[in-house]
Amino acid sequence: MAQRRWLLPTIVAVVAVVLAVIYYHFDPSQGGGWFPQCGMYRLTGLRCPGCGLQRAAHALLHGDVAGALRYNAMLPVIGVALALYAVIVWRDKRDSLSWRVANHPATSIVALVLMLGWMIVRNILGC
Amino acid sequence: MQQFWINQDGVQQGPMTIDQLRKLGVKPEAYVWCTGMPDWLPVAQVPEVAALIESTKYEVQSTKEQEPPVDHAVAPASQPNTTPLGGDGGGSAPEMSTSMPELPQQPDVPMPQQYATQQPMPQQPMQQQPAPKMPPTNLGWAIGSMLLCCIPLGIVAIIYSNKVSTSYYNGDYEAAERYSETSAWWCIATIVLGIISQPFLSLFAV
Repeated sequence: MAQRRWLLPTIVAVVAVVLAVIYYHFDPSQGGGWFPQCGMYRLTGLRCPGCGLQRAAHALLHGDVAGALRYNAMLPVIGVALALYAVIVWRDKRDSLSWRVANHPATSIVALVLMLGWMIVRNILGC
Repeated sequence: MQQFWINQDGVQQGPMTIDQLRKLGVKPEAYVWCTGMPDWLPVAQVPEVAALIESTKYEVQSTKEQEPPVDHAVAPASQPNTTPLGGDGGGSAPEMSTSMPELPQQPDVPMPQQYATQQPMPQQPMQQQPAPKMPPTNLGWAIGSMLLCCIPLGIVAIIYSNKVSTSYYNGDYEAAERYSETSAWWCIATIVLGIISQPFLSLFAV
């Protein structure tokens, strides 16, 4: 049981390291063609809330914080929020305030509104 | 919250909630009245209050062992409306509404049918069995797949993950399980579509 508990975090950590190595060595902004592309951007020309995360990850891994924010200004928010959420859910302390906040019905609505709002804003501002 | 007036030991008190009555202690020979009742009734004929008779004895005994002064000190202080009835039973307290009937002289009043149909049954206590664990909402996966793969399907996944916690906190544990599974499948569908759509995206020029 204890081993099973650590299975998912281990997989996530390994995948994260592999992705970090890939995005450090290859620059998605230089094209190359084999980086995944955003379907919504391709089909509609609209930037989705996640657009630019690959380029931002490359910039961040090279210490270029300003560049990362330019590609996707929400990268820090998304990264910190998802990491916090993952830790809270994984800890599974159901009586704690953090767990109850993370699993509150309003949390998912807030997240959805934030992302759609960010999508609208960035398409208006063109950032 | 239903308010009751109670008359026992020649003392009339009210309005009181069920909880206050429980604290006060209801004796089997007491009379009870509440709005909607045409007349005072022996406590045994009012189901909500009659349920307190037995439990009261038990609770009074147990509280007396633990903290005897509270039981006596609180009762007079928290019941300033206490007004002793006159010997003829006709004395009405000044704060009582005029609609309140006088205490009957004969103890055996048959329960009126009108009252029996008007009054709801006492609420059942919450079910005692512990609630099952809340299933995972999969919110993290839903947001991640929405951001990294394909927007529209990810939104569906987030909405279903919202339904998980909503149903769970509404007590519908079965629906919560179902929605948890549904949101997981939408996450998977989002990721799969995001991957298999990649080769076709180059067909579209922006």
